[in-house]
Amino acid sequence: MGLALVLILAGLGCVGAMLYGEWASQKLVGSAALGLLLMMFSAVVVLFRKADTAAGEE
Amino acid sequence: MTKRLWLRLQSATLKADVFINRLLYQDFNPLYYTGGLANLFLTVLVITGILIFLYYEPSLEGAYASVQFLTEGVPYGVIFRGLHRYAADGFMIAIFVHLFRNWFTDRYREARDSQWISGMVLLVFSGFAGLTGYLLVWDERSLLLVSMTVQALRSIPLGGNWLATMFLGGPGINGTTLPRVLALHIAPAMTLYALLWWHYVRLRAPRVWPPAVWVLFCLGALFFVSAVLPATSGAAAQPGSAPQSFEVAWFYLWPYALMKWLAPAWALALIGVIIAYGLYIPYSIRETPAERGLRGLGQATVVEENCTGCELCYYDCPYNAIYMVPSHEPGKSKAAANRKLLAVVVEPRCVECGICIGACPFEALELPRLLDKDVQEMIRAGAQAPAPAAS
Repeated sequence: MGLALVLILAGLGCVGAMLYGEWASQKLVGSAALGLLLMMFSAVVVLFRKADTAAGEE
Repeated sequence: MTKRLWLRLQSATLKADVFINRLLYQDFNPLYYTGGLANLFLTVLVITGILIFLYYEPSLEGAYASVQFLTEGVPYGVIFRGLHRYAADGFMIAIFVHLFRNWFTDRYREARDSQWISGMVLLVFSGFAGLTGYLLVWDERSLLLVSMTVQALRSIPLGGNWLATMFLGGPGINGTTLPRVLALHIAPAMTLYALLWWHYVRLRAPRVWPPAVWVLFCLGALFFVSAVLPATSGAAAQPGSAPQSFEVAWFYLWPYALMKWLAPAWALALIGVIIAYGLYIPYSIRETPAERGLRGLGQATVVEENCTGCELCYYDCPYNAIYMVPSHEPGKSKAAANRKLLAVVVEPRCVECGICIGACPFEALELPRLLDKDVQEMIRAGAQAPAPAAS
């Protein structure tokens, strides 16, 4: 869960980077941040699902 | 030797499954969705391809400039170009993992030959569509690739010159060349969907789309790579001054790399042999039909008076060989008196596996050459046979 928290915070950082990219016309920065955000979101989903499964098995 | 190598490959493939299942939740194992992942990348290719097509100008004077305008002048154009470029790579990776996984786990034999053959045709069309995409950029590499293509076509003994003229639209590169290349890029790509229908038609429940987690991850990876390593062009093509070497994009341009080591005719022949072997694989099994477990029991038939329309056989048939149709008459048995549906066997898809016989609790399906009474007779004969002597 600790890792999931780190990923969620990093995701918020990515949202900030996307807003900056749009505001400063840095399209590559915004797109890279969007890509990272999507990848981290999928990792968070997997981590939560694994945690949920592990809890169910106990 | 070959058999041992094969068993090792099979074992490694299955171990990869187990390893990823331990690492991720089982439903998220990407190896179970390699075909679906290829579909995801194909969808990205089609969407970004349509957007790129809106800006692309298929002329010798305008092609390079239009690609540059898309990359530098259109908001997020460089990202769309990158998505198209890297989705093509992802598409090929997914296809090859799908191919090798099914190959190493024997999922090309018997009734699956249709999926294997359609898959090979899909691979050839995908490769061709990807390869022609590199010609459309019309930079120095494109010019070299066009001249290498013409050289290869001309090396074909019969009709090679005609093919080269058809490809170029004349004796040399001219104003009609790029529209032809564009057609050769888009037409195979559109054909992929017809081929996918062939690929899926005999499967009951194909996994045509990956889980949402993998959709998000792949889209994220595509956006990230497109931004970090933007797709770029080389110098503009200048007819008459093609470069001597080029950067090889291995997923699509390996046939051209072959031509660096082999004469064009031999390179083409080698590609032909590889494709022919790929198509031959399902028929390369040497065992006799009996050794392969083929029993020749005849295709399943529906005993209409017993069918209740319960759909159990429809859901259990892995080959999509049973359809349910509206029933206009009641069945003769008590259970079938109020049926709304009737099972129908699509004979060309039936592989005589007998799964539907086991699925049906109403004795409404049978294999014509292995009826219940035959099975009972076989059991009786087996029971009466003398026991083998202990060794």
